[in-house]
Amino acid sequence: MFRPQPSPGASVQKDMEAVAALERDAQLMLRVRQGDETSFALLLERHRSPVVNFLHRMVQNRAVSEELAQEVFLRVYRSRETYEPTAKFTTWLFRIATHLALNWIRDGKKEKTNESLSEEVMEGMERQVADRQPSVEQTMIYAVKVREIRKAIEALPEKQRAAVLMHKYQGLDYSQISGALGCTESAVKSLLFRAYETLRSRLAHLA
Amino acid sequence: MDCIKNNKRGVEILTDYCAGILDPAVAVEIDSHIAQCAECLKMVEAQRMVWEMLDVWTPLEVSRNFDARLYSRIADEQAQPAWRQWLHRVFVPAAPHPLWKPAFSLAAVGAVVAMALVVGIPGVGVPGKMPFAHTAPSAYKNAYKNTTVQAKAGPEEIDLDQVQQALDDMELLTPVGQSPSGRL
Repeated sequence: MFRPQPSPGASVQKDMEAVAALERDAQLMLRVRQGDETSFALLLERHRSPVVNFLHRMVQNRAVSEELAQEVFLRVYRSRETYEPTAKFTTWLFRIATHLALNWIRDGKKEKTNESLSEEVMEGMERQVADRQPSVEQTMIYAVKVREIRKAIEALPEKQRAAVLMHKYQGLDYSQISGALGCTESAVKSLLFRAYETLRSRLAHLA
Repeated sequence: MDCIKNNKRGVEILTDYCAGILDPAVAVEIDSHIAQCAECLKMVEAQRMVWEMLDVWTPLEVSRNFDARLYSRIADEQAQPAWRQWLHRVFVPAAPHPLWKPAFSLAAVGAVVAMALVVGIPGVGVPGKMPFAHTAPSAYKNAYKNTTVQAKAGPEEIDLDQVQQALDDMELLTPVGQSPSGRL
């Protein structure tokens, strides 16, 4: 109909891979606790890009997002001795990232920064049409779309924004998002419903 | 299958379906349902539009010196005295503790209980009745007795003789043939 459905076998395999990855993160962090610096480097390698991009979409400023991501990993490293694998590592990681992003937004620091979109638009455009040189028209259409999407996401209330970004771009499930946001799963579903509803109305003209 | 909007888990089903993470058996049901239900098809298409639109915002490349800067910060922090590192760990926790909300509730309950105990101090309540009299220590009972005696001797105590005298005076002042209550 709308998209190819994954087969049950593929789904099970995907779940098993996800479980293995989660266990791997916890194992790596436990090794970091024992003083293994290589394990920290591996964790950084695995989660650097997701964390930076989550923060970038939250605060919409590249320099700030990298600065906040540095703080996230610094806090992870600082907490290595007290780390207990009670929750999924990703949940804990995004809890730290969300906390820092929300604090940054609430501190009103956002108003002091003004980022130019051109560099980011060009970079994104190159990825979209990597096989050929984008035309001026394509670049302009892409720039308008990205700008509208950014504005629509930015206009969402902070928690709705965080929930949508974790759900859509990071692929976290409801329990992980609830762990990261510190609320119940039903609250997460409600946040997502309202956020997607708002986005539907705000992005309808781009379809 | 029920319409998505009538289903209790409709929102969850809709988002999971468009994200491609719905249980395949349920997804097949949705496929066959939206082939017949225009309203649900409209909902799915709208959600799908959002989902695809958000894909346009591609991720950025992380700066090449990200790791170097991070390791430099870690090295700087490790060069600090142990007490400063400890202070950092204690006062700048990695994330807000998940138990802060229950802790806040417990503190509020504690405050209410403390207030109730303060308000319920003997002597402030009804004189002559001592709460927890059967369990209170003797020194406490004596102290309570003294406060009760003081309360009895205080100006707020009602003297029945005085009340009777006042009523008699009122009766004397009433015109002949009329009762104090105004009735004949």
